Amino acid sequence: MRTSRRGYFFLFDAFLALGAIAFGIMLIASFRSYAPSQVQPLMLAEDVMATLAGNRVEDIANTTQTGLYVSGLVANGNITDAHNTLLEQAGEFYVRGNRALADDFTVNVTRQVVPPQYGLELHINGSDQVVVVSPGSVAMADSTVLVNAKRLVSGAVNASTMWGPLLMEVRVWA
Amino acid sequence: MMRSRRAMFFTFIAILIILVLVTGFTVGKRQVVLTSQMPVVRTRAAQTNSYVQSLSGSLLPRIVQTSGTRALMAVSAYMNSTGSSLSDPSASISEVMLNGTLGGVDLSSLGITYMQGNTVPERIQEVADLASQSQRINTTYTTGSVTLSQDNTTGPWRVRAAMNVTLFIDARLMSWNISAPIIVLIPLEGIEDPYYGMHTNDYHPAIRRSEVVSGNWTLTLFEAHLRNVTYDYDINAPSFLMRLSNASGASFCCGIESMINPADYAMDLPSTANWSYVDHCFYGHQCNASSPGDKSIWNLSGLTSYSPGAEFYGFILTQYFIGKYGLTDYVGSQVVREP
Repeated sequence: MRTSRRGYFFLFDAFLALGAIAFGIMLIASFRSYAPSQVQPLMLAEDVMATLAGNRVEDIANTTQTGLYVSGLVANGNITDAHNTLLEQAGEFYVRGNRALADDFTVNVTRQVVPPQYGLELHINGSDQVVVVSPGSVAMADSTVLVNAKRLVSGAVNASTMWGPLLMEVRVWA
Repeated sequence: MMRSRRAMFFTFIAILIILVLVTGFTVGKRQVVLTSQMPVVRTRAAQTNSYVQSLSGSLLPRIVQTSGTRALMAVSAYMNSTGSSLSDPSASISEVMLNGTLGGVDLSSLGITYMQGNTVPERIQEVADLASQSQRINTTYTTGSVTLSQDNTTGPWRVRAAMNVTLFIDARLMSWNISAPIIVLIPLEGIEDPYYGMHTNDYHPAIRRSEVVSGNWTLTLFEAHLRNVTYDYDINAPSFLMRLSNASGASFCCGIESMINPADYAMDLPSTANWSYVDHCFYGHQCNASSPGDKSIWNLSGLTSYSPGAEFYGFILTQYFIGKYGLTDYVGSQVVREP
């Protein structure tokens, strides 16, 4: 009888020891360095791309600061087709050789939708032109998460001359 | 010594029980994908979906529109250079858009280069190559024929082009098999009128819409209309598509007409022409005095001149056009010419 009780004791002791070891391993695992979620930057990249590709120049209300900026470009003749999407318009500036305007336009229509902790760039035609919209809280080289969203765009001059297709890529990092 | 062995034995039993429990709960159960691993598949799906959307919603319509515009320019140039018309404009333009040929003849061999690198298949292939290179998405496609039409929706200044493209998009993890009907409107302004080209020696004005709206014509505006060879809508005039087949009949929805400017025809203008100086009357030999109804033709005072070399040398109109263009105050003498 005495021997049998000792058996229970040792069995219980073994369970307790294993539990302590498992808890220790879990605790050590939870203390590893923080890794930001990949889902949020990915959704941000896709959303920014969808915003640029889904909204047309004519859709931007000219009551906002961005709207007034875009209206100014229409008024001074830099934008000739207000039916272009924002992404097509950036591509058209690039194709016309007006890279500074492509840069300025992209930053103006995108900056407000990017949270400051995220870095965001638009790469036009591969990486032939890189527009930095937001530098983010960490440099891209030091980031732990880097995701992208790609889209092909094309446009036309005078309805008869097609430019593109160009690869446009939004890169987001954190 | 005996106790120590028992302790080891019981510990071994405990480990064995835990292993049995863990194995029992693991083996044979469906694997659950961890959220942290999902972005890989999600990114692939999102990017391919985005490609499919931009292909059917933006890239293909753009390709059909630009290729269609160039095909109209190419066909117009072909008619100007050969003086021949098209028996089936829609089928001919479809052939030009898809193959760059007309009646099996490569247009570039005739010096008409509008379609070089601009046929629909060439343009789609460019997109497919870029998608393959940049996103490793394979695109295979088949294109149907293109149908051109004009009606009340398009109005006289645009042509509708419709074609069906079947796409198979393979992104390895997933694939799309879709049939995309592409319908676009092609603006006609800026395209040379082939109707002129067929009837003159190398004179082919581009179609430009008159700035006069709601029929508020004056003599000054009419003179500008005549000088600049601008076009106006008219229910008795042929549409652009009809002009491609050299038809001079009426298109209620889409008829367009321009005035014959005698100054542009110094060499070959038939000064004894017995028709109104309106393109479809002049070249279609309609609207003349021998036709039923009041088709009498008139000089216009302050406009018509019979001095050789004068700007509006021999310009005449029938009553219908005199009324339409608000020139009733300027009706001169009636003209009887031998055709």
